[in-house]
Amino acid sequence: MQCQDAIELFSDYVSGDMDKALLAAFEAHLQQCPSCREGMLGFRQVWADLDRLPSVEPPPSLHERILAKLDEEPLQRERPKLLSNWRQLWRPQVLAAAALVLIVLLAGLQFTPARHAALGLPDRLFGWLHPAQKPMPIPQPTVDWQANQNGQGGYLEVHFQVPATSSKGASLHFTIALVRLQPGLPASQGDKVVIQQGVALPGTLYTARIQLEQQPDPAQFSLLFSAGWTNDKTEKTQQLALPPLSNSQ
Amino acid sequence: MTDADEQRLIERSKEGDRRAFDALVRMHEKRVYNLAYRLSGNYDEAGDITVEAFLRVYQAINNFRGDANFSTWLYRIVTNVYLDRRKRQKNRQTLSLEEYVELEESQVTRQIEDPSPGPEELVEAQQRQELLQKAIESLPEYQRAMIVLYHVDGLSYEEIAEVLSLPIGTVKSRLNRARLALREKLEPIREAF
Repeated sequence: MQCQDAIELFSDYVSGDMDKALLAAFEAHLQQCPSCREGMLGFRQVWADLDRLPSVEPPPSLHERILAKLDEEPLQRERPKLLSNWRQLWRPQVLAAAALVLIVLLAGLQFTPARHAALGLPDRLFGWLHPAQKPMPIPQPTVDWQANQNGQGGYLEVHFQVPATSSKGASLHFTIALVRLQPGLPASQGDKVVIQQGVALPGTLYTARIQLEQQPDPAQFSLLFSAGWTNDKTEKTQQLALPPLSNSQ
Repeated sequence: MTDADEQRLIERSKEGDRRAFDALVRMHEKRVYNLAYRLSGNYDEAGDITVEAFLRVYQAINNFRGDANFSTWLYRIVTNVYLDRRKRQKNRQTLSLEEYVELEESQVTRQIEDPSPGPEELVEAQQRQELLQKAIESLPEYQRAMIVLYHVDGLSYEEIAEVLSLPIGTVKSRLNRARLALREKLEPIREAF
């Protein structure tokens, strides 16, 4: 492990957020590198100082100031757009249009997709009234191994394109676990270690990089990628094959 | 006060019940003020940020749908108020001079004023805290916000990612960078103690 790699891991080391193999490699580096050892001492001290920052007392007048400000500003509550113009809803043209929509809707609801077919009605006429609930797509990741130049370990990279969505506030939660395959058992029942968890935003190409001391052998290990959308109950777990061992090993 | 009590206060506030909103403010004002103080490093500005943040909460509470934690939503608003103010101040370009003067004065005061008598360690701890606060203030805004949310407010990486709308990997790596930067800034001071 190089100093630069070790420094990237300082926070994970203090918070105990490292798997055994990485921890061993990190501690081996600290043993042989006085500069990182010294750096780690200072880092722990800063962490401890940050955790001890005292809380400050707000001035007694603060509460009254907040309430006075609310009185000062006319209440302009953000409302859903349709409701903010609710008076316009009572205009005769709007009422007539609404009535027409209602009639079409009620008529359409009399038909099930089977009835459309029986009556020879094209699906595009009323098909939209019975839309199939499409779950949000879950990306299909690809996995790479980037060996370190010195031939010791490297990075496992899991890339996935998070689909864009018009749904506001949606994001993709994912968990990547390294699993030791056991003969005769499905991967989901092998010993697993979660190596990364996160939240990815729609429309982004996400790369999860996991530093490992050595390249995992695809004959012995596999990856499990579980992902689901925050606004959707879809959750999917996929088994990802690890890349074949590189020649250097 | 349980989560259910808080939820009831939020619902009543949505209906325009001022007493319920008053109670919500009471529940959260100290933590909001602390977050604002650690972000801005200035007591007066912390008060202004707190007032502005609660006004935004009051106006936007109908948008809070309850699928996120109320505190997380509130912290997002406070952080946004702070970031907006910084942007406005930077545009006016008066900030650097004011900060410089303020820093100079506080350093002079620190040298002249003899802190109240007490154990030496206590004084050192207090000086360290002041220097740490100055070091936090010198970080880029987003790193500063992350440091405060993690260490002062005790938010998890996931919650910070939600507050700042950033991927969790970015939060983790920027937080590590911020702590390393603080260590660099405080290193000469630590050696002096």
